Amino acid sequence: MAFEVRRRRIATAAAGAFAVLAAGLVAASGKQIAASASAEAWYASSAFFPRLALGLMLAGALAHLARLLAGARADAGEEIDADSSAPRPALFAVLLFAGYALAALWIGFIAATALFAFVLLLALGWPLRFALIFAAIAAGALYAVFVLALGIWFPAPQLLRWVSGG
Amino acid sequence: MTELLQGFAQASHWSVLACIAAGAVIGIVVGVLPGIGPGVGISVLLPLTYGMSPLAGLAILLGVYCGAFYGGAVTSILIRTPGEASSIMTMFDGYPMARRGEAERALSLAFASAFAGGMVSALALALAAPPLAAFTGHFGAADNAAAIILALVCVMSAYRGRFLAAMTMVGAGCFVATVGIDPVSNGQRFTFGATDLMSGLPLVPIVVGLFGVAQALVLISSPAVKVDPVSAGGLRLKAFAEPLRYPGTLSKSVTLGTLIGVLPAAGAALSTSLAYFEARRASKNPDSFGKGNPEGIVAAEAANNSNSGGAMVTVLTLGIPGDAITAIIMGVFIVHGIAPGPNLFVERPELVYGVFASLVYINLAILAILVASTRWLAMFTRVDPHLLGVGILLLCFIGAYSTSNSMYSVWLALGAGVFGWLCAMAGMPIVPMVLGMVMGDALEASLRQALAVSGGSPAVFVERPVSAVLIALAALILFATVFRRRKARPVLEAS
Repeated sequence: MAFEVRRRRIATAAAGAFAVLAAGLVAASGKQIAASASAEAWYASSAFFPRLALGLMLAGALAHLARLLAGARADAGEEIDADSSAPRPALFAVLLFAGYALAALWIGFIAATALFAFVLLLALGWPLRFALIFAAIAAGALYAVFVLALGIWFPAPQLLRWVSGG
Repeated sequence: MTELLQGFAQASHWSVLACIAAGAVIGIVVGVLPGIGPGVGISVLLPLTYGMSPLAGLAILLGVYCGAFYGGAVTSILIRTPGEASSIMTMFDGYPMARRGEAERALSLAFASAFAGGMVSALALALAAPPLAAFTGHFGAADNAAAIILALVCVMSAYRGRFLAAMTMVGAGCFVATVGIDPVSNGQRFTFGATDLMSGLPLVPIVVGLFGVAQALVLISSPAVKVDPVSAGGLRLKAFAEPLRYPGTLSKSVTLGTLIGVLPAAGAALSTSLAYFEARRASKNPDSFGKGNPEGIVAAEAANNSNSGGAMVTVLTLGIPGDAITAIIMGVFIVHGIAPGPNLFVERPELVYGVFASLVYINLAILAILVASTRWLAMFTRVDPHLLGVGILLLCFIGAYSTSNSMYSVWLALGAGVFGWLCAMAGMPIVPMVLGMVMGDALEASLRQALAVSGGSPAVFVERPVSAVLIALAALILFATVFRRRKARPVLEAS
């Protein structure tokens, strides 16, 4: 029941956000879609389909919001069951992932991968030694498969260039 | 016949066979691993297919798709945890059999039934797709638009209690597809002055985020559940012939699975449920279902795996994916600059028939792998979900980066991942959005073309018999969905 109440609250906020977003995008469409020739028919205009899509999104979101506000149940998702997901660890993982993307440019892919896996595993409560070994193996394996075998290119670490004065 | 042989020759190339084997192994593991489905596996692997030939890329993803169906049966039978909604019916009779010491028999039955379903559906695809493609080859713009509208309506209606949420997401997906340069007027649309957005929002990093990153976030942020699997032992060769003792159930389930696979968004879960309850209805001993009746496993697994062939029919003949997985698989065509649809049968017959041949090889490969590995597969059910989440995030990072060799794709995947996670928390379905993204371009082009021909008159959609039938069907489904919703509106109980 607690999951259902939380889901309903989030669903109501999400439906409202979708409605506001769709309405905002419709309002911005005049500026954000390059002006068509004035003689152009409505169906040939660049704005026709985006507005149709946004209209569908807006109508769906408003009706969904109205239903939820009227007391309807918010059904759980079938694709990903997130009922027991706690926001804090998820947000921490998101921030760490963002740091990973930045660190990969500064310290290189292999070091950033090892660091990301190590810190996240430690934060999730894994023992230090296990986190260290897992991070080293994961970074080495990904580097071997993707960079060495598949030839995915990463720029030289910014830090290395900075230290060498390049 | 020549084309079919050509397809087998193409699929017999070592690189395609290696991809089939790799896809089959990954698919089985993905199916067995708790909490992740084929969507995650396929979306993470999709960027890797860039450097492969189109058939090799399709083969590895189809291997994951089919492998996950087989693998899902393992967790359903051994730990009473269906990895996929489509494996729930297998659990009903598989787990009671495992509990009374017949785990090997239950697994052998499940794999043999799934194998029969997979082979028959591959054959059905090879037989049904060419005439269907010849028919859809005569489709005009109005017919194409009507077919896509029908597919999207089916997708929305499939989310019974969440029809409005699905409608919102279809709209969002179609909108996302329009971001970038309009191919007709060359004008910018919703680029907000960003150069990166001029070529549109790329499908692959978004799919990696929506499925991979979102799933990883859920795994990391959810409490780990301890499982106590029943010992699997080995497979029983005798049990492999057992599905043949139920020819009626086997044939009905395979037919249902293949036909339902063709319907957009109906999905394997519907076909397994229908096949299971039909088997129960036709049985002389219906009360034994749910208590370890082997016929229940035969019905569920045969219907489950026969979906794959049916689901590929609409992709190959119309260029319309029926579900998220076939939408992602369609991404392989898109990244190689190939337009799936009826012309594919004329322009690239070796690819189309290569897909048929690959499906046959995939089912053979999966069965061979399972015979050799079932004893150890149960071990994967013990993998900690947190560890799995960390692994998926690492793969999503490199997978998204490799699509453009730039961090832009990683940021997109992260944004899509957070969005997908929030949607999962809110019960907003992400599959309709992916389908909207994939079909949005084609729908816009067909609508514009059809309306240009008619001078803007919507009558163009009812003047041609095919489009008229398709639009009538869409209207009927829409009406039935709305009417059903009004009749049985679920209301949150006051507490």
